[in-house]
Amino acid sequence: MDNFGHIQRDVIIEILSRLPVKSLLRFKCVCKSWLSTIAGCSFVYEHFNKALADCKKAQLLIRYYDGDTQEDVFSLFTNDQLKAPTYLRLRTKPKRHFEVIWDPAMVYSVFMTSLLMSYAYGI
Amino acid sequence: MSSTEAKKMVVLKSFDGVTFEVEESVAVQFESIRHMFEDNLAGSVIPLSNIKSEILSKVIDYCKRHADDTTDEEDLKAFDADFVKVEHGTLFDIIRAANYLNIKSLLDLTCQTVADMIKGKTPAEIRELFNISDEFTPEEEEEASIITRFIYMDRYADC
Repeated sequence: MDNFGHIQRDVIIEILSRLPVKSLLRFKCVCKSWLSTIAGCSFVYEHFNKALADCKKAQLLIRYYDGDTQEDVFSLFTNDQLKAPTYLRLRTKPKRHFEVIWDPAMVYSVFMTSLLMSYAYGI
Repeated sequence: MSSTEAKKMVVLKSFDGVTFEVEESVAVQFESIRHMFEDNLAGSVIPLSNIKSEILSKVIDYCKRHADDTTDEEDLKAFDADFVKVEHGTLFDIIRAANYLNIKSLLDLTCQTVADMIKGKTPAEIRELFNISDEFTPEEEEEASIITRFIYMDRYADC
C-alpha cells in the first residue's frame, strides 16, 4: 500500500495548517489525534494567521458560554474589526465551549479554551 | 560571487554512512545545524543520523539550486514542480528531513504539495494514506454533529 507511514505530529501540523477550512472540517473525523490538533488553540492561531495573510475578508466567529446570563454568546470578528466585535446572543443548551471560525466560504468549529477567549477579549 | 576564493566546505554524513561535501553557502540553509559549522569546527563531519543518503542528496540538490542566484525565478519554479514529483514515501522522507534541518522554503514546498494532494480526500482515504487506524469515539461523533449545525447556520445566513 502506498502510504506515508508514520509521520510526526509537528509535520502533520505543518500540512494541516496549509489546508482550506473545508478540508479541516472534514478531517476532524480522521482520528482523535487529528481532531485534537485541528481543535487546538495554537493550531487555530497558526491557521487563522495564514488565512489572514492570504485573505482580506477572513472572519472569526467565537462562541462562548456566559455564566452570568446562562446564555451562549456569539461574537463575530473580521480582521479589520477585531476591536469591535459584533455580539449575537442565542438561547441554547450549551454542552461544551467551542469556537467557530468562518472563512468567506466555509465554516469550521473548534473547541474553545479559556486561553483563546482571554486572547480575543484582551484585544 | 567570486569563484577564485577557496570556498568553505562542510561535510555531512547520512545515516547510512555516505558523506557529502557541501559549500557553506548551501549548507547555511540548514538552519538547525548551522551553528555546528559556524562555530568553525573546520574539517569535522556533521552526522545526520536520521536522513538517508538518497534523501540527503535530494535535499542538497534543492538547496544548491536555491542558493544559486543566477537561476531565474521561472526556472526555479519549474525545478520545484519537478522536485516534488516523487513517490509518497520519498516526499515524506524529504518533509521529515526539511523539518529536522529546518529548511523553511523546502518545508513550505513539500507540505503545500501534500496539502494540495489531500485536500479533496475523504477521512477514510486520509486514514489509508497516513496509515491511521480509526479511533474515532462516540463523543467525537457528537462534536461532528454540533459542527454540522453550524454549517447549516452558515448556509441559512447566506440565503
